Amino acid sequence: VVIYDAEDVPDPDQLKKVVVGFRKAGPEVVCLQAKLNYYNSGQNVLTNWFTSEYSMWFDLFLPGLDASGAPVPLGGTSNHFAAQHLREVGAWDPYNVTEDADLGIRLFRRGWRAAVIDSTTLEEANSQVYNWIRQRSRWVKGYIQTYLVHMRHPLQLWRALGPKAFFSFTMVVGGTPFGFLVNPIFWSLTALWFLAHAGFIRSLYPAPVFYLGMASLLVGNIAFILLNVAGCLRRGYYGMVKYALVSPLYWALMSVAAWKGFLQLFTNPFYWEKTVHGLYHRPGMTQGGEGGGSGGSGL
Amino acid sequence: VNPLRRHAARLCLGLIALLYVAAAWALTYGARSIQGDNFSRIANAFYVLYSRDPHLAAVGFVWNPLPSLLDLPLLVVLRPFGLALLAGPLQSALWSVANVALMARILRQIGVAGWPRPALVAVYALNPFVALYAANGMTEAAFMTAIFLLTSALFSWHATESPGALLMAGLACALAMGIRYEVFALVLIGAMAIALIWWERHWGDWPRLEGQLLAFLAPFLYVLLVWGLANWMFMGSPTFFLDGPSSNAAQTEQFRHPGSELWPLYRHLGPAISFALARCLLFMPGLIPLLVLAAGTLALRRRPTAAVVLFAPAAVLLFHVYYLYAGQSFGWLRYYCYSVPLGLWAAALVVAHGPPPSGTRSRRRALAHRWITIPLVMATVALSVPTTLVGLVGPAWGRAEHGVLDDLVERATAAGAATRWSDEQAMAAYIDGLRLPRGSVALDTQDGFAIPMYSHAPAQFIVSSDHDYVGIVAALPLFHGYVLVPRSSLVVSPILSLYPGLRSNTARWARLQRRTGRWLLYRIAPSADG
Repeated sequence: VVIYDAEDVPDPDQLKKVVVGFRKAGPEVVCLQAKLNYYNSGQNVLTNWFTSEYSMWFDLFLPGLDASGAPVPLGGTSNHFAAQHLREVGAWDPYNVTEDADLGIRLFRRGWRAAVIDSTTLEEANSQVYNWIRQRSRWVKGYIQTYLVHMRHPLQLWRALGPKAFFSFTMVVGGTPFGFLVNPIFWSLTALWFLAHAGFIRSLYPAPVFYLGMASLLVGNIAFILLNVAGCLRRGYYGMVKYALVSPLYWALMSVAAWKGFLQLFTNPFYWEKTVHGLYHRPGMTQGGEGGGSGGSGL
Repeated sequence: VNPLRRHAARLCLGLIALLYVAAAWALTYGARSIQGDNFSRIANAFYVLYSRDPHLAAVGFVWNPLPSLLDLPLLVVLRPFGLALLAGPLQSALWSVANVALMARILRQIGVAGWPRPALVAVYALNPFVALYAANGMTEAAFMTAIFLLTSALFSWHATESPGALLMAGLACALAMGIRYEVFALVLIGAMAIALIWWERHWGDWPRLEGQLLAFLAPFLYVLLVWGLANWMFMGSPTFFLDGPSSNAAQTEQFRHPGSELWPLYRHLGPAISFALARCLLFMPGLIPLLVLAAGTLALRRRPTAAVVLFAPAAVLLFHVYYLYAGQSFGWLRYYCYSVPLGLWAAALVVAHGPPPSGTRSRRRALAHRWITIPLVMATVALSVPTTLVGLVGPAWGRAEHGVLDDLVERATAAGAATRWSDEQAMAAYIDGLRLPRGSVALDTQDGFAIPMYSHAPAQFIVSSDHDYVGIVAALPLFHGYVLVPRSSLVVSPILSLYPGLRSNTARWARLQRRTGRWLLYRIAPSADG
């Protein structure tokens, strides 16, 4: 079974690569995830940021998780399953708004693995800010749902995943939305401290926490920026490097979306924020429409 | 890789680590030879943790901050054992071990195989300068690490153009920015190397050049931005580290005046080059023939851009020539130590690239390369060990280094003999004996950095990094407590600049309490007519 979105443009030899991939992989690999990227990356600043993020996520981060033996949260499209195992695991959770990411974790809990293959599917990058925020808010809400669902029984999860994968799950599925949510709080505190030298901020933190926070601020920011830059370089998107360097502005958008998704978790937890597609027209392509495309999540 | 060889390499690295750490301990606590700059950097970290007003900005804005920042965790571990002064030397020892491993990696990248590789590594690891600066806590070892990382990354970029290599080159420059200001030479040469490789392979693809240069420069620019921001916030100027009163430019002001030692080099390129070259040749006597041979080898093999392996150390040496010319250099011998890796990598290029395999006389040439060229090149680089030793012990060359030999001899002959810091130690002991409350003694730590470190109660000192220091010094005659000032008229002391009467003991509001060889301790008596 393979899932493609309506607007997807997979590499022409992707299915062949998948067949070879399944033959070469061990029996524990029951899903192959292709790398996702965008065909309209140069449309505007937002699509450049989105593409640099996807290049980092699918070309560096997910292969890294795969190589380290950690669970891979699947993207919503171009995941190829061995049908029997998909049925055994109960397929997708219809209540989870990032059912793909959740499925990747559930496969791992069963002792199976999802691996990343070196084949790309191009999609349409969301090019309008509000449309992007809605899509991202759903992804964040879905990641939080996934984290909460699996953490209903933390000890069971620990036993099922093992300590390394448990840590990875917590950092990736739990930590990603958490980072988006707390970012504006810490940015505000930092800005307040710089602008007003508000002494109470320093008094909030014991010295070791303050110094670790400072190290995290200084090293963490550049590390994430450089990861995005590395993703661009790996894809050969050299002109996109300048956008990747100012990706902290993009992170601000992520935080807006994260808070929208987080609050919606309480008010309308299973609501599916539709993503409008067809905002970019490739030559020779028919027009798409609302909800016609990506249900995927690639935080 | 042969597992046996790998184990042997690890064992050798472990032994070298042991040697460097033992040397660091022996120099600091055996010979009690503590280099001033090293001491000052440890002291900056000390104030962050243990001063009366502990805060991160106490790390100071004179030195690049990374060595002191890395001293922070080392101090936390070492101070309870009474080994606080080992923080800097231990750090330089660890950087130096990394350098030995990186040297082996770069030689492998260049293609040196067989016995010349461990031999070249040994020539580096056992070079007396490398061993001394592994043990003395100075930043040359750390900066050498940045140079080695940049060189390895650039060479890897030259071979593969992998994004990881490009980003590693940028991170090496960011690391260098945290350590020494010669980083500007590294950044410039790194950008030139990337442009050169692009010009050779991708001419006309401008977005590629833009993206690659931005990716390379980003980490360095980020660190520069953060450092400039910190300087602006705490010192009032983003370029304080470059042009402030304690900057290199300010401290070398004396050399830009007639009569000074380095005056003949100021604005005279020939003498500046000659001065630098003499020191480079002391470190690596065969440097020029090795560079010529390497250039010839690469030209014959039509691999001119492989010369990127020589760029980084060469750039730093040129930077120091420029600094001599601009009158901003102290002319220390250590500034020219980069000729050691430069010479070794030039030798490696010659050793690794034998004659071209084609041609009727290729076998004879290969034999000549193996039995004549390689032994000659290896003998030439091995000469660097004794000549470096001569440079270090001779006061005419190693103005800063030969004192270490004196320390070693003095401690060996008379264990209780005075050290360079005996005066500070004695003053700290005296002040401790007064059992003063917190914040009793105002002290300018630009020169007096050692005194709080030797004290058992560092919080009794008001040091330059304390938030209220400027206010207290501005109203010093009204302060209830003590003030410590240097005796020497050569020392530029901000306190003495404000209150010159303290040096001549003519300030009526202060009564001399204690005099040592280098320090004057005054008790301030506001009731007097100050």
